[in-house]
Amino acid sequence: MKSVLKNGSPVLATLVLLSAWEAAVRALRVPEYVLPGPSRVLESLVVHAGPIASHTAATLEATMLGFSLSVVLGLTLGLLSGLSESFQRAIYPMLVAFNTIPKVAIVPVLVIWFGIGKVPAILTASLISFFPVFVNVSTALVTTEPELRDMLLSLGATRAQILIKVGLPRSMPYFFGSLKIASTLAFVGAIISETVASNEGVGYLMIAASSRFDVPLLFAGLLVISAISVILYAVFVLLERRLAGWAFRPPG
Amino acid sequence: MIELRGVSFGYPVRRNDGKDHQLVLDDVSMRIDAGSFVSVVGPSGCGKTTLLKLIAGLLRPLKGEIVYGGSNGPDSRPLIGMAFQNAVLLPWRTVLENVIFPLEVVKRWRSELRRRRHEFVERALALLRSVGLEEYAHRMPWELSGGMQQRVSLCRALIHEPDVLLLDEPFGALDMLTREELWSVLQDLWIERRCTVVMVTHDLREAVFLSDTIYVLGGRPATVIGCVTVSYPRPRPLDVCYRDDFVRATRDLRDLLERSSPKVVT
Repeated sequence: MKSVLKNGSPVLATLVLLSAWEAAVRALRVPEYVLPGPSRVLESLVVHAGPIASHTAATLEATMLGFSLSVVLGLTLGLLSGLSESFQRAIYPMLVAFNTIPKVAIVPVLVIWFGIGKVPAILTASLISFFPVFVNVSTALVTTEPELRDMLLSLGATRAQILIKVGLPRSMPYFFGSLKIASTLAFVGAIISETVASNEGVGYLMIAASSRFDVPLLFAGLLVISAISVILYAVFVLLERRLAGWAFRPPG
Repeated sequence: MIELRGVSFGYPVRRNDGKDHQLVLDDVSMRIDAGSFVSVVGPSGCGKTTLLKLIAGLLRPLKGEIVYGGSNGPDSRPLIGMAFQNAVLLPWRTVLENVIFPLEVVKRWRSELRRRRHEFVERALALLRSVGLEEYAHRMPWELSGGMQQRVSLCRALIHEPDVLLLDEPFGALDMLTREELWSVLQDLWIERRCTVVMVTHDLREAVFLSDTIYVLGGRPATVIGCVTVSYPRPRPLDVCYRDDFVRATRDLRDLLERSSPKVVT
């Protein structure tokens, strides 16, 4: 019973929230164009399943491409700044400054450069999500124990060897931690761009729905986005356990 | 043999009048015979670790020189093994993989790793056996106690058959019983191999028990203020620590240290 409660608690909590929502909407007679109940959202999801699926696929594609770009970018910058203190000093302020820019403000620029469509979505996704990867990887490399570095140097190791033998394996838990954040951020980036400048994707679908006051469809879009983020997150947790499992010790 | 001739070292500091060095070691001369066990004692923060890094070739002296084996030049630098107060084992590797690690790095062994892997594993297991940890070979480091991790760290420092073993307060973080147990472990390993050992410590009993020669560092910047030879026969049993002359030797070292460093009011 206890283990059922423990494993089923996320499902249970979700169900409780949805029921409360449904009950509140019905009891208070909230109009559908303000807040539809979950049952209505689900209905919309089923009715519009075809378009929702194709738009979701478009968003997912932009997200994954953007995310891959951000991993490459974040990993490269992180490795370089972990290796060279002067490089890190040089680029850190710039990257922090860039990271604070609301990415929605960048979309118009990307549209001017690349036109409306997929490319701005991919780029926004990668620009919004590379920063955590960069910060985590560079932090992991910089915090390598000085004793380990001394030992390796005294054995005649090169910088590249130190990176491969110690730096990279050591940074894996940090890297996967950042992937969990970056993957959901990439989603946000792609959808932001789609709401502003695209004719496909969940973001576009939601803007279109909102202009038609189709609030149930709007919520169906939100539901799909949340579901996919959770799945993505779970995928990276799984990868993390596989590839950096050593960092997780059994309790006790 | 390793000889330090008038070695001075300082870390760069920024002063108003431009860049300068804060001297840590001043005119340190030492003679470390091949195959001998040498300890360096001194108050904490006096530059003992810096001295080890100089001997390891990780730092260059500002003045003076370090001569290895009588000759000079970078090629003559001996093969070095190191162990520290923290075991710093690699947490993603098993105990055995940790011990083998230096063989994957040192040039002399790296090229033969694939061909002689089996032999290397046997060698690592033999080392682990000699420190009583063979059955832990396939465990992860965090499954071991601090004393056991330190044993693994010693094995790792010896697996590539270094000419010189540099130990930086290797037992500093251990409780007294474990520490004394590891003194004997270290002594046995050393008697078997007879590599040159330079150990930095602030435990005077440890220094007297293990060493042939003890250099005392003192003052600021630190310099050699004394050199003591210990000539108990080997292997030394732990009982030796309770002999009158052992106690006296320890007290003499203590007096020497106390005279050299100005009293700090606490």
